[in-house]
Amino acid sequence: MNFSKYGLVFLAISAIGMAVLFGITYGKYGGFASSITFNGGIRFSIVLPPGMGTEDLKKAATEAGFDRAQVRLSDLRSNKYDLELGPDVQDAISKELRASSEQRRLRIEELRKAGQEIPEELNDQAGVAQVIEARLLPKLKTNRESVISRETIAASYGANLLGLAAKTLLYTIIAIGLYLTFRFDFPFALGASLALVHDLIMTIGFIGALQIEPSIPVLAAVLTVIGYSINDTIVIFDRIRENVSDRQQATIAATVDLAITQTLSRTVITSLLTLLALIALLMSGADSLADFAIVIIFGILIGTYSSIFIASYFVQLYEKFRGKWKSR
Amino acid sequence: MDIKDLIGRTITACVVLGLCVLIIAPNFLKQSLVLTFKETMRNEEGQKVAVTEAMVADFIRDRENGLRLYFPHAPCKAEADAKTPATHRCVLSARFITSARVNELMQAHGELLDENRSGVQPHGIERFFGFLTELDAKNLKIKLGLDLQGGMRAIFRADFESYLQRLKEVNEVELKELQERLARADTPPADRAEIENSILRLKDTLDLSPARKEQLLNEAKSIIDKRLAAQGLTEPEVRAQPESYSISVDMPGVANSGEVMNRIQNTVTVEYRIVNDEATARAQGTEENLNLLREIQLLYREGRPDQADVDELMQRISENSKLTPEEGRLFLFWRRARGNSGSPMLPRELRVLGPPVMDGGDLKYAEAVTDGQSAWYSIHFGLTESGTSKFGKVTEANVNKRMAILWGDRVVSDPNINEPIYSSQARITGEFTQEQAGEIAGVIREGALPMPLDVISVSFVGPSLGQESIIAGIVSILLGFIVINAFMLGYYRLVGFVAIVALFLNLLIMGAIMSLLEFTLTLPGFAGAILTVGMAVDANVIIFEKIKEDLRAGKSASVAIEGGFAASFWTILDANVTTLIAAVILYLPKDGPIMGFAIVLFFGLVSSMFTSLFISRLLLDWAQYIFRPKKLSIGWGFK
Repeated sequence: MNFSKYGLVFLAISAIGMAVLFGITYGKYGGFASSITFNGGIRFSIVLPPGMGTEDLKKAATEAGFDRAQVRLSDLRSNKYDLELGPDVQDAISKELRASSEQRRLRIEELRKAGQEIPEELNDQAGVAQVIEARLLPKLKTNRESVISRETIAASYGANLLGLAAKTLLYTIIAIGLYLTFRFDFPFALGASLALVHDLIMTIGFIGALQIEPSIPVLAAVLTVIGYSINDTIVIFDRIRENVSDRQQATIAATVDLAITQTLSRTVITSLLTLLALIALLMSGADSLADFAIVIIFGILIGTYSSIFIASYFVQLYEKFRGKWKSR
Repeated sequence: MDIKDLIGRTITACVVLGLCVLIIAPNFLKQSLVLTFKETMRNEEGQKVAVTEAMVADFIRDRENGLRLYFPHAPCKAEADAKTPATHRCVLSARFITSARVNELMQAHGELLDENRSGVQPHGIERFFGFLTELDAKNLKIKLGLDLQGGMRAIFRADFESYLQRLKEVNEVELKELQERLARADTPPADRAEIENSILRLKDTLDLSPARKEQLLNEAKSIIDKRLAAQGLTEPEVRAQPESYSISVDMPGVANSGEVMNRIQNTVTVEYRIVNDEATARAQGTEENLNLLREIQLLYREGRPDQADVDELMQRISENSKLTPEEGRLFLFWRRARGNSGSPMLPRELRVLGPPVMDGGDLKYAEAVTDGQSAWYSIHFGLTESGTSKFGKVTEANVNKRMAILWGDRVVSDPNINEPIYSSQARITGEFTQEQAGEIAGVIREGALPMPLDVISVSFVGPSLGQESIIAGIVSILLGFIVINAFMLGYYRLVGFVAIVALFLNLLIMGAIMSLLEFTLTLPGFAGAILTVGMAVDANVIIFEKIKEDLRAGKSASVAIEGGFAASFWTILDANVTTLIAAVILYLPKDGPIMGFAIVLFFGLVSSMFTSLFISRLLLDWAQYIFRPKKLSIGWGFK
């Protein structure tokens, strides 16, 4: 098959893909989704009336207009639950509060000008937590006394973790590049590393475009995709290396195409099998594993695509610019 | 095919796999949880009441609040041991007892259960592997991370900047003084070397190099370890995270943070008091008092005692020896048994001490040093400016008396004051081993400058997946596994069966390695496992596709197998080594979630290389030896 001939086309497709994914992320949603673990949020500790449980609290939160609330049983004996709301809820309410306090300020000014007395309730400035409680608690048929604590969750740990992951991934790509230079040749190292970067950008774009909340499972998924993608690329490169020593006179494009064709059945079988296992995971109905599975599924598709269409094309591109493809 | 070679390889494989089965077994076998009940408890008014047989029986039966809430299906059978009668001790036998469950139980019923003598007993196999550790059993159960079993995670950061800032303030004067002395012409050359040494050491302590930071971080970690040890929790995990200079403490199953957090954050006071020798001799002189001391010892030996009981016994000793308030207060001297450094720290002597003469902040550093001449270590310490003058006065007034060093209310050492000391440095000599000297220096350092531990975050983690999700996840992973196996069998026929066996064995070996390492399995670890299973399948697919290619080219089965493995070897090696590099680099920052992924990935890759290149090969060789097929059955159209 003629994979090499259309290399530029695939490169263009990738570029468009990235543009679309990041376009959706920033254009439609204004950035990546936020999560409690990574961006902080607000946490309530609530004692529910007897007979109510996790599901009731979740339902009440949804009815009150708070999406993606996380609910956890924290003490069985007192029927105490933790309710965590993400930063988006916090932001939305602060925005509302700012707007309403602006209105109130105007109203107070008006009254003052008219020389009238300012009613008590206008001076009461409610906080974010109070607003949330006012909306949520009636749905649970309890009052403010059942809220034991309200606290803001700091984001520093998650932020640290993301920075750390980014740094280690960078080192990983460099180290892999060095190893491949040693085992294969520089162009291959370049091709594999660039393919890795390609997969990474695509996967991150995908996470943004689907507004998947960053979490530790999602981070693990990205790491898995990287591992998978390297593996895929190496298998093809290895075949190219073998073919180069077998057929000294062939052109680079022909050698690469042959290697891809020869390994195609393996590539397809492995990808298919892994996808099957992941689809099973996705169908299992475990919500918190769904994000994990979706990211890996996308990553594997992209990884397979990049190792067939992108990685070896980078090798050829490099050789073309250097103007050397000597028979070795 | 050489049958001897084949049998040799088979024996190797069997030994490895047998060992793996043995190691992994305690994870799946029934474990026994021993529950020992206290003899007395405090009721709501704080009075001591006996824990009766009926109370124990009620607790064991209770489905709403008692034991049945935590372990609904496992009855707890009464069983006596050497110390406790069957009425106050029972043994429960169940599979998959998580530490979160045990901790939940202990925390909720601390008034009833004796946490030091309750807990999961090591399995017979674990006792057998005890020779691997210094303890009498090797833990072989894979722990579950907080994201899988729930609990509390607190992250502390040692505030190095302000710590070093204060360290600098304390030491600046001395450093300047030393430098001036060095610059002066009349300093004798003999002193110069020592002054230079002191300057070097001071500069070393003040330098905020990464190595020094890590050293401080480890010091903070050991402080937390020390404070947490008294909590009686099952499997708390304290990890230093050098990359972010923080320390994370995972406490599975802990739902109520208050007490634990207080204990970790509270700095223990360190102070120095003069020993009243005459009163001490009187207190230690009577047989009756020594018997009371033995009783106190016994209380501590059995674990965390009721403070009121200890106070009562102390009170009786004070009364017996007719101690007056002017003479001082009675304290306990804690040490290990003489000549046995493995014995536990216990109160072994009495001391009557006067009022505090100096506090922890008067000293600024301490370290265990050896002069190279004697076999014993001594403790070198330095005093602050105001400390030096206090120390001078105190030593002058109390020559030939002893000065006790107290950590909280425990006397840890009471060196004799041989002569007045007016310098800013001094030395405690005695027959200290390196460990003992290190312990005392640690106490002095902790008192000198308590390391501020900021709480960055406290979170009650999950189980983020929840019990149902974990089960659903495991079921779906199994399902995926079956689908993969069915495909391999259908597509590769007999050879596919070989791949399936190899895959199973891969999981087995991985599990055994994780068990041996006392690994904590987290969700990212799970992800690592999925990736390795994928790569193990891939290795087999690579080999089989190559064999198929050779068969297509008309080679005979044995040649094709030989060639398939030979040609695939480097491909598999390169692919795995590249991923191994990724695993190693991801491991290096030692940050919880990413580290878990990296460890599983690393060992999974090693074991998948072993199974695909060694075990698969072995099985195929056997198949060939037994069936001697002319053509290999490796999929459609190639029968």
